[in-house]
Amino acid sequence: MEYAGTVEDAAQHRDLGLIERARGGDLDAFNELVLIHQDHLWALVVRLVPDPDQASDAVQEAFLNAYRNLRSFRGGSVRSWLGRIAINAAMDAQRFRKRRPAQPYPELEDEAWQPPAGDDADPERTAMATERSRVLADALALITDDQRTAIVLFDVEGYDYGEIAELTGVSLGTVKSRIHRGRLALRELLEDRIGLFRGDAG
Amino acid sequence: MNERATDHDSHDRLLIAAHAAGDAEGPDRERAEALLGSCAECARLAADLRSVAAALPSAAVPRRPRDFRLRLAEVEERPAGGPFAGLRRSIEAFRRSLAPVGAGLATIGIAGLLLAGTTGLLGGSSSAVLSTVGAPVGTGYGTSRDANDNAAGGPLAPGVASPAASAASEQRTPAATAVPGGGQVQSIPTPKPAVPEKLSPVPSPAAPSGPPPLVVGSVVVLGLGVAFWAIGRIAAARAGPED
Repeated sequence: MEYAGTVEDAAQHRDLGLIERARGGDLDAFNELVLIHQDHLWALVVRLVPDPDQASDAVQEAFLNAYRNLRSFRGGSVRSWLGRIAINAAMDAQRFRKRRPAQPYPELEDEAWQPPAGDDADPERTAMATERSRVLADALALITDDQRTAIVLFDVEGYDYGEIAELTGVSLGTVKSRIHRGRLALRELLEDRIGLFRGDAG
Repeated sequence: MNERATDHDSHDRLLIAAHAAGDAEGPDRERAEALLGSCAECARLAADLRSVAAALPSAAVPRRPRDFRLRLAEVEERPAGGPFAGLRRSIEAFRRSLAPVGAGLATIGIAGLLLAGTTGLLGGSSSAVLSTVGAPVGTGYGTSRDANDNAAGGPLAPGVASPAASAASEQRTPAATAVPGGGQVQSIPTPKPAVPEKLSPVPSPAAPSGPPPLVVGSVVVLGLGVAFWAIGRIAAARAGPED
């Protein structure tokens, strides 16, 4: 735990140094931050915006906004700061998508998807985990934007109800309701494959 | 745990979901726990909801399609951000949209002027106006100057005698007529020819004194059109590569 804290501190120290240089107009320093955080931001945004093209635009917009608003960074975690900017860009993309509905996740092509890295070498279990991650991604793309946003921020990103309420501009009760209804919707969509999930959680 | 599935259908699934998330409190929590204790399906639903939530971080994501590092040109070519960046972009977009509107207005203005030219309105002649409404030439409709000119036999087409001018001339002529042999005979006053009411040279008090409305309107529309078009083109040129 202490080691993890040290690594985190070192990462934060490195990020703050890069922010400082970027504020001085050093685009290379900012691009180092992009290299460090782009995978996280991509995974976050593409879960909120299931169309990969729109998600890609939203991530690009997020990094541009971050670069333009370096002065607004008030300290704390650079990763969280970038995450919040990306969430805003993703919600803008969702609103745009409502006006111009796009295709959700395209047909799953093996080479285009990255199943989560598993520490499990058993091929059968690995195949099952891969299948589970894919059907879950499919189902996630089919629930409403509001429910998906609340669920991803809570269950994947680890924000608490209050933070989600602040980020999405709704009440605490609405956040809870969206999470409960979203999970019920996911459970319904996964009805035929629910066996993949049973025995997964304690 | 021996209730039939049909009973489960009537159970409050949202309450189960709230309880599974740890959000049911007070009486809701008691109701949820009662359901979980008596309905196997409800208990299974709660377990499934927890399993699905726990698996969410492992949901697959498409591969990152590109490197998101910013290019210098990309940073420079786009307008700077800030709290009013969105508003500024909207205003710029509105300005750019003025160009086609301006072109349309200018076309309408030019068409109006051409129409006015065809019907003779551009020259300011009252005769053209009257000819378009079917009235006799030289009746004084239009400017008062026109009326006076017409009364004096002014700007009429050669060979076209104005009845009104004839009448006025007859009024000025002495009532004596020279006859061969130097004598004069007292002429019998000739009756004045009847002048039709509508040929009166006196302009109507309500007659417009400026250029015709069609001309004024066309000039205004043309001016607005050119201005809008220019604003739109300047905004588009400033936006440059974004378009």
